[in-house]
Amino acid sequence: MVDAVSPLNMTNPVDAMFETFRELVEKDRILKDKIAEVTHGMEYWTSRIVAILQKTHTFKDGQDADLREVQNILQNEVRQHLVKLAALISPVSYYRYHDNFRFIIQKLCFVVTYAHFLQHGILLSRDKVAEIFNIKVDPAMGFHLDVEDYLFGLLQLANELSRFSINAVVVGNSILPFKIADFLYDLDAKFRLLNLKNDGLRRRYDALKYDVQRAEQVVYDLTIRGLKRPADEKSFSG
Amino acid sequence: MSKAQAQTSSGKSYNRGQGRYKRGHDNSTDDDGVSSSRYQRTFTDEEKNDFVNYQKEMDERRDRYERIVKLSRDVIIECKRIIFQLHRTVTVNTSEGKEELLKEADKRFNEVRNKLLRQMAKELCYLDQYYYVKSYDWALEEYIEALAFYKFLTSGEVLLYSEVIDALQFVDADTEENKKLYMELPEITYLMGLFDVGGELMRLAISEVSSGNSETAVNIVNYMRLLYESYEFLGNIIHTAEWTKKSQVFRDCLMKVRFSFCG
Repeated sequence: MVDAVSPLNMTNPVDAMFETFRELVEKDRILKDKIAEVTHGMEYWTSRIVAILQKTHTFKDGQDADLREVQNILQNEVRQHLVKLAALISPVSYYRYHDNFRFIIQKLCFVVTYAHFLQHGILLSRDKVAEIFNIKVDPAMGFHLDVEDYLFGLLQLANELSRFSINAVVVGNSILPFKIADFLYDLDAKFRLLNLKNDGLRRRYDALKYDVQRAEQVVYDLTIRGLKRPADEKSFSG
Repeated sequence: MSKAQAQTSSGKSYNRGQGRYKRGHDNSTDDDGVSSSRYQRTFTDEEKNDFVNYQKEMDERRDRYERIVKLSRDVIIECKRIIFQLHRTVTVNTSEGKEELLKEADKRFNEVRNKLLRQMAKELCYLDQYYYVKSYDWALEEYIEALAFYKFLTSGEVLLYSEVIDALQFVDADTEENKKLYMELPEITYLMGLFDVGGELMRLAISEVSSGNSETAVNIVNYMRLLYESYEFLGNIIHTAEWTKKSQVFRDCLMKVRFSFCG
């Protein structure tokens, strides 16, 4: 028994409704494609920044020039892409499409805080990170820097610094590991101020203790070999 | 074990906490919530305030999320009860009894809307509602299922998206300017809820056929065929696994209803 398929009748409100749904889904897909295009461009420039910053693990000369190049990329290309992304997101809901760009935002927070640590040795706050990107922190203002994305970026920073600590010892820099260990202790203490529930951020935070442990291990290895903690932290130089 | 002991002795022997004090750092004691006091590390009040602000922001969002989840559970429970009540129309023989049942269901729908859904809309006022949509879309699916089932029993027609949107608009009489409240209804939530009504209609059809009344089953088949054609028209433009699962379940329900009086 073959069911006769009734022809589409646009005066039928159900058919008209489903026609509208199909159009809406198509518009949604087009917007997601545009967002993916912008985030793809941001991923390229972020990968460039990460590649430049990876040179710090070799401790060769030229870090100042590398950091200036990173600043240039952040001030020009990354800001341009963020402006494009904000223009796409502002008319619609930020969190409806948040999954399409959250990872690149987290990575950007990581590279900005990492570059800032290399220059100044302190933690960059979310407000200052948002200033560098020229975006807001208040969710009511539309396109903004979500607090969880910033915290994810910090956890990536901790993972990178524990690597940095080991590579510093390889090239004979015995001062930097103490500074990194202090920084990671402080970061762990600050994260304990948060009341993280059992979600992705909590799972990612649970890995922070291994980064702290690695930094502690490096400090321990230095100490038993007679390389003492420097009395004056101002002697720190990358 | 030996490593941990060595680390402890290392910390003790060099007394790093004192060393920090000599450098003239901020010596304020930030013991609240800091359980790593063994290292006697300190950070500035400004940095602590930053993280306390992050904590407050995240706690506020999570608390609101949990309140909406609680309201959603209440909505689901009440909508399921309404559906059970609507299924009792099979056992009622008189048209007066049916009207009584439908009137009672309508009253309960109004209670769900005015007490629970209005409260959810209040919680979501002035916020980006898509952040919280996962906390309430499962409740709206159940609400849409119940409403669609009710509308089928009263008029035999399909519940429209615009009708649900209208049901999710509220006026807050507590404020002087009669502030408008509303809840975001993603299209996919409406479509998922409408899928679910297939299961209820199948149950109704089988009950009616068992009672010897096949006219209702024919109406149900026509209704479900119309819906199935419309969903097939959407095709595969929605890629979620749940959509595929519900589509298959809906098709199975349609086949069961047809076989219930043709098989």
